[in-house]
Amino acid sequence: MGDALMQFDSLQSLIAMNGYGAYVWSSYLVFLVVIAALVLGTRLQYRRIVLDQQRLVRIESRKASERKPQNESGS
Amino acid sequence: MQPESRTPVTLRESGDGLIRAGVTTFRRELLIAFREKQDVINPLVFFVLIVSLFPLGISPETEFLRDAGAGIIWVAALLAILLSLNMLFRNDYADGYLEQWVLSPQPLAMMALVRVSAVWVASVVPLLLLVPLLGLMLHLPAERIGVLTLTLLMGSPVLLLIGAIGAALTVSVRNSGMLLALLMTPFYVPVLIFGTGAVTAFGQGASITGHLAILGAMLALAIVLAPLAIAAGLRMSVANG
Amino acid sequence: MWQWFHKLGSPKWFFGIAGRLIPWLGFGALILLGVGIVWGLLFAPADYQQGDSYRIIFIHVPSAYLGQSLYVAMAVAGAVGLIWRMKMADTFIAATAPVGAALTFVALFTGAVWGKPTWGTWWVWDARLTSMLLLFFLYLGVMALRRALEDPENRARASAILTLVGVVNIPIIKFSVEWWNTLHQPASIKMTEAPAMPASMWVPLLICAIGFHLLAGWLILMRMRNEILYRERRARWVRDWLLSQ
Repeated sequence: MGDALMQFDSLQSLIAMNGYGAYVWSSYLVFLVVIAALVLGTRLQYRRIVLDQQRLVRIESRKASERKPQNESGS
Repeated sequence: MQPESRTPVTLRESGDGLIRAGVTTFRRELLIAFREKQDVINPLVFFVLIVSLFPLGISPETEFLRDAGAGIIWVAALLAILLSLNMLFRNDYADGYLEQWVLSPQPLAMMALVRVSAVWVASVVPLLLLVPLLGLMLHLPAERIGVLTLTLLMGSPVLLLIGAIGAALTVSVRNSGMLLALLMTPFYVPVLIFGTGAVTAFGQGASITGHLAILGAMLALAIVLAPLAIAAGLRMSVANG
Repeated sequence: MWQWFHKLGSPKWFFGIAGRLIPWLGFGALILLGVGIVWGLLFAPADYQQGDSYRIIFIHVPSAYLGQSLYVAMAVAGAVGLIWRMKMADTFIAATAPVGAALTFVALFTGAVWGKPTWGTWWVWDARLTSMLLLFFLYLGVMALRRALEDPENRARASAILTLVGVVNIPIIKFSVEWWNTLHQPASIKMTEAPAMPASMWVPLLICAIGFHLLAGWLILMRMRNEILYRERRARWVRDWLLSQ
């Protein structure tokens, strides 16, 4: 891209965007927040499922081994 | 539906059976509507109330009401139908009739169409009868009231058919009223646009055959496709409610 | 082909494959979105009509596009689920609905913000914005229906039917809204997009669009893995996997 030069010569002008800064940056901010919320929600969903099920599996295997102590090694 | 091979005689009989089952269903619906008058009257009262809110809430000026009247009546009719949808299959689901109905040998989609038509006759037609009265109250000119009634006549079966899909999907849900409104309103937008569009065009002296043709196309599409979805929804709800 | 299709129906196989794909998709999305957004914000030339406000395009158009195509993808999955009774289809719908809704929301928000400098008002009842709003409600409807139904089998079939009804209606809704729009705004202002866009603008847009697809794929696969873990929690292989974590 021959004409793909840096369009803004300073940080201030990048933030200002020739007066459109508030519109452009708020759009990108909302995009970031929404994606971050999705990622966070997905991670929380994952942690909840994994932790719940791990606890359940452990409780069940403990119960099973208490009931059948001769079977302790295999569960 | 029957797996065994059919002779022409049983074919003819099953055809008769379909008609008989259709007539029975239709009559049963009307009879229930006649006995449970409150279920028919409540949406009517609601319809009139919604319409009367607009002059109170915005402006009672003749000019405003004449311009907005058709839209107000359309929206009010839409809401009245929307909010009565959750009663469509509710009682039959509760008393087990729906289960028998789904298991009956007649094609469920056809029966669903018959049933929705009966409900339309029993509870939407009375609503349409009120339209001229409300039109007068909103200072609509007589011809415009005629066009408005015509568009509602064509549009309301579409609303009911589409809404019945949602009602079939949510029969097993308790307090499904709000859920149904959320599910179905987006699907009502095209009907509303062309219904009110016809009245506006008529008011401006333009031709309305195009609008009516599109409304008719939507009605035809809804009659063909919606019963299939209603049947699928009812089967699902009955199978594992 | 059919063997592949059958494998796709196996939660265990899918779980494994998705686990291997997820890091690639995540990295790909991060790199492409990083490059595309920095290019779009810093290096792409300003639009001769809209100045720098058009830089919203690099997130608005991809999210609007994905918002629409994800609904269609859900409907395809719904059809597959209804016809072949494939369990994974409903997993896909469950995972995709929130992602599609979020992207549609981003498209709506950025559209409204873009409208302010372009049209001078936050919200215009423009055909595209209005149909995106209705699409957003369609997503919310699918999510509300899923939440209301408790039986998993019911939930799967109901959302499949609803998405199919939705996909039949989307063209009708779009057509009616566009028609209504021409009626009420005879001279509506159009956003300048694809026509006559120089390469220095559409190349970063393309990069962003690909990045958005990878991002959506990444999120959907992660959510599908969560769904699979929950649904198959009684299965032997899930228990083994959980204990190995």
